[in-house]
Amino acid sequence: MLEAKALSLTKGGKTLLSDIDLCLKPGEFLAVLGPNGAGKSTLMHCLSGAERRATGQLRMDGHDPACLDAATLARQRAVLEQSPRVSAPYSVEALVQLGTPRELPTDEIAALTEQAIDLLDLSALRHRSVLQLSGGEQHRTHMARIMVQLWAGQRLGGGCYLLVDEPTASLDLQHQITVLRAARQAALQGCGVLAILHDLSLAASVADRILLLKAGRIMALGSPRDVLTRQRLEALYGLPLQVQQRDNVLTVTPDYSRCWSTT
Amino acid sequence: MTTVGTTVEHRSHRRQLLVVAGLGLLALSLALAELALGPIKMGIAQLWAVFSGSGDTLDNSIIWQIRLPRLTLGIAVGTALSLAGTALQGMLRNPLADPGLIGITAGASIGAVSAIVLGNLIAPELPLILQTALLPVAAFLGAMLVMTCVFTLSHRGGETSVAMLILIGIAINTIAGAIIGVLVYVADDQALRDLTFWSMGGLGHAGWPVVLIALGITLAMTPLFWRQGRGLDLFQLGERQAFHAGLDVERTKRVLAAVAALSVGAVTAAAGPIGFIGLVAPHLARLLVGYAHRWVLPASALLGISLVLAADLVVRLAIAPQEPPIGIATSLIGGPFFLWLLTRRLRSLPHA
Repeated sequence: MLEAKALSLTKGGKTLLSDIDLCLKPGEFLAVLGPNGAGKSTLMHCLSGAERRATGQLRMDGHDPACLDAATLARQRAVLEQSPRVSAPYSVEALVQLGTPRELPTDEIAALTEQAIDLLDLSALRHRSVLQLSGGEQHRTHMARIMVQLWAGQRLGGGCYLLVDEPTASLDLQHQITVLRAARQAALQGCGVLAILHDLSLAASVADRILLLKAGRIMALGSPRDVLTRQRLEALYGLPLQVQQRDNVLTVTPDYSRCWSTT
Repeated sequence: MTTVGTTVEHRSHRRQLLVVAGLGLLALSLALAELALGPIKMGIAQLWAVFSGSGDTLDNSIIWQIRLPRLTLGIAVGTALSLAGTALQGMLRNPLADPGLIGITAGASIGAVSAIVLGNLIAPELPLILQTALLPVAAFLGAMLVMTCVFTLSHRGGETSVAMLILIGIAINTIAGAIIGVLVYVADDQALRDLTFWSMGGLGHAGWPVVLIALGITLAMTPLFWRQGRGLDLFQLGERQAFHAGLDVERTKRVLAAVAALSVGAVTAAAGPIGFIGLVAPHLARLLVGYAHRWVLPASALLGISLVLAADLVVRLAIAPQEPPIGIATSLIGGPFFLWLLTRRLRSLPHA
């Protein structure tokens, strides 16, 4: 259980998060939504243990992540940053297994690498240099690396949480699904998944619960159908929207005709 | 699928192993040449006689008092500078980081020059062992000081830009030049003489005690560099992702900075400022074995040794018995190499 109580963070006189109460359960897919600058990435950094100046209570299976060392945290959770980069021309295969814990035998790491390369549809790129890939392909490579870290953590008795920041950014439609399928599969296997997303319909289709953030505060938290209402979203994004529900599929789109007529 | 992956993996590791073994042979043959060649040439038989204790007096003294300390110092200098360069380039995610270019060597020089100039005032009071150690300790302190400056100045925004790093290096080298100028101005005749020899850079000026201190520190530091290989790989992800992947970033940075400053300080104190080894060796190593640091580190150390020994052989043999400073040879190779790197990098990153 990854739990935050009254979590707040102020940096340089600016309040980035205030009074966040949140609980990420094992096997749950939680999508975090909100406009730019709402504090989504900051929240993820606090939960991951990278941001250590927050006040309030934070518990990762009973421990404060801000007090755990990097290696222990890496076994417990895997994190994909918003725009992951690498500065050396590693091959896709080498990058995917970069940073796997040394406790794991090499053949097991090779097997996990293979599995992640298949899962993220990278087989055709495996020997290419990462720096020569397109943005989306690089993103998928990093997602594969994160999956290997998560699975390796599971082999070592951890691998409980997957935190991903805009994993679908710069990806084509097919690969948005590829990446989210990997995250969903982790949730189905008992992992607590937190994903920051921008596509409301995509989030509604994949998430068990949705967290709406507005200016560092929780605006709503609950099932997609309860949270994603038209009034609330229009207030949050300041935009006319259409929310439709058909055959158990919830879609949110801007009301384009009204969007353009008001400008 | 799995078996295909592992065989590819093994095959490429075999290649890297072969390359490292080849570099080891290269370093070994240059080391033999360093012992055998000179104004008086020696064959394998003569060398064998000297080392088995049955050589004649002249051969013995040439090897034990001239060529062996020289070779030993060359090994220490090559190893220390190339490993420090590899560590700095990895840590700063910047292929142009070199102990000389970013001013670490200059910092060590300030320390060493202070020790030479001011040491004469205080050293007679000190016991002999401390007198010998004064130079490397002062050089280490100077190197550490500059290392701290470079890290605080260049790391403000989390990322270090190439331009920023080079500019910091220029500034630090200028300041160091001025400080050394002042020290030279106040130096007495004896200090001035020592200083001139030291600042030309070379493997031939240091006696056994200084050489052994340099070698000892380098050998002690080498496993510490080695243990950070995985950390240096992870640094390539950027500091935050490296932390997410399980690296204690701040601790790794502190350890590597201290280890690099210690090794650069120790060899600079003994051999004077020698440029570009820390830039050229890691680059050639990456060309040969790829980017995984557990291969880059040994390949780079062996290349560093080979480059230093080759440069020393060139300056000793080119116009023997004259002996121009070794720094001239390393800069003649390293300078154009640096320019080539710079233009290549600027072309690939038009906005850099």
